[in-house]
Amino acid sequence: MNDPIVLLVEDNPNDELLTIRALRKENIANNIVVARDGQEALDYLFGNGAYAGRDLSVLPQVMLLDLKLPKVSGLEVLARVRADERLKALPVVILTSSAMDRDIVDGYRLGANSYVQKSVSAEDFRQAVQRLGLFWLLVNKVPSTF
Amino acid sequence: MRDVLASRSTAAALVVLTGTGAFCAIKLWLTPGAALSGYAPLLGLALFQVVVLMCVQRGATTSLLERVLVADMAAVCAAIAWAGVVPGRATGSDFFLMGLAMLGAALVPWRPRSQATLAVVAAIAILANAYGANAAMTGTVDFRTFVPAAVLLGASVYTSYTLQAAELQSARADLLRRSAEAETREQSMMLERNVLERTAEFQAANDELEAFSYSVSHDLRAPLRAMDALSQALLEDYGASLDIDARDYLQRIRGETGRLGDLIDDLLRLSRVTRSIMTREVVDLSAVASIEAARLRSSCPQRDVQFVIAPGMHASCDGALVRVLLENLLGNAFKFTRKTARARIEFGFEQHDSGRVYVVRDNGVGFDMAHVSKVFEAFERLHSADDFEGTGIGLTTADRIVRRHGGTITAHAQPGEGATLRFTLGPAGEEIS
Repeated sequence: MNDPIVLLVEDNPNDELLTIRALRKENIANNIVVARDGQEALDYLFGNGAYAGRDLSVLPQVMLLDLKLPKVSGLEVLARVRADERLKALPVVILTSSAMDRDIVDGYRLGANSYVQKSVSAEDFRQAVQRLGLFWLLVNKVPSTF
Repeated sequence: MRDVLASRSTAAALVVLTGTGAFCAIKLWLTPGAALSGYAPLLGLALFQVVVLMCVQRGATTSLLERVLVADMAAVCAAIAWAGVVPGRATGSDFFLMGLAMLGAALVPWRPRSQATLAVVAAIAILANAYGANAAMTGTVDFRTFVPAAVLLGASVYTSYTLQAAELQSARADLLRRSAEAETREQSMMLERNVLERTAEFQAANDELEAFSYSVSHDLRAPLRAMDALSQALLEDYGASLDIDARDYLQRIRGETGRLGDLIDDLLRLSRVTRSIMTREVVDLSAVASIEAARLRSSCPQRDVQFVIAPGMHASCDGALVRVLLENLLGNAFKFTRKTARARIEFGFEQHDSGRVYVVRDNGVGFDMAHVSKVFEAFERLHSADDFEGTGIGLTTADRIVRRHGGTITAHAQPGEGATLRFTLGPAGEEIS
């Protein structure tokens, strides 16, 4: 599969379902890798644990990152990604329920490319996810290798 | 020894003692047939005086001093006994003075505190010591010969005794002062500790609130979104197989989830308004209001609303909080003029003697003044949700913001005639026109 990969880091099964539904609905993204906690996301990105031996040259085109995650928090995942030479430039979009100023500031300080709050309204949420998908997968240009 | 001499009282007492010694020695030398052994009790008495003084000097406890003084009195009795009673020459005055010495000894542990008791004890000590010394020196108990010795010895004892007392008193005062100082220090330390503890408690409570509102914003939203989105998915994917009622129910579920979302947002804003750190700066209220008016107008372009905002209103206040305040007040006015044909919303000010009062006035639906007390209470609403949507937190937030500025907010209205909200921004808020 040569479709660009979306790495969705999300622990809430409903949000996972709704995000995937929104992205698939308009055929924006079909290749979605789901990590259900921060550790799983790191395992995927660094080729550890269940993802040992994965071809690390294949990088997601964008990572949709929730902040409140089991095991390793979203902000910590972001910090680890930005500290790594290979993953430094990986586009990271924080997609979270939190509207706390502290989270927004921390997110940007740690190098998030954007911060999107999950709207309570289903329609707004779907629109936000679809716009994100359109922008990061179709509009935004990334190098062939980072 | 330098320490001992350094003391004023000790030096004075030693001078007197030396004088007394010299006088007694001359008297002994001039008295024919006087025994040299008469020097011994004299020296003994003098030594007692020195011991007493040194005890005081070295910071002896009161009880030790008392024991030394009692011993002094006992020595006086012994001297009288040696000179008068034992050789069988004792007179009535001998016994009287011995009795007096014993009385003095008995009085010592009583710890003279007033000047009067001190004088009595000193007088007894003078008489007893002098008579004892005279008896010891001359080997006789002639009542007339001891007068000069009595004066000098008395002066010696009196000087040392009163000075000792004064020293004790000053030491006691010093101790009292120091303990008072220590108490003050301890009190201020306790106060400081209390303040630190309270600050820490307050900080902890604030952190807890912060964590609480975080989990409110994060955890309460997720299920709401799922409910809303899944209802929508149901409508989209299976809408064809649902009848009108079923679709209506799903729409109602979606409407309520939206309302609950607004409620969460408003509550979070209220708690943030109450806890945020306030910084006053000069804020252009006219500009803030104009921006909000433009935003409201674009949110509902089909409505015909006239905003009248007085130009150039500046106030010293917290910019972020006052923006929320004006959003709430103008938003309310906008909402409650929805059913008014020619809606007009004014924001201006009135200059009163007590200062500047800002006014937000609309010609909307208004309310009955009988319910005015409920206007600023959280969750209280004066209109049904069918007529005007809302959570009942907007004016509570406005009230908190005004109160944090040290100001007041009041509402006046008449049903169908519109509402007028007046607020002040505290003593520092009335600035610059």
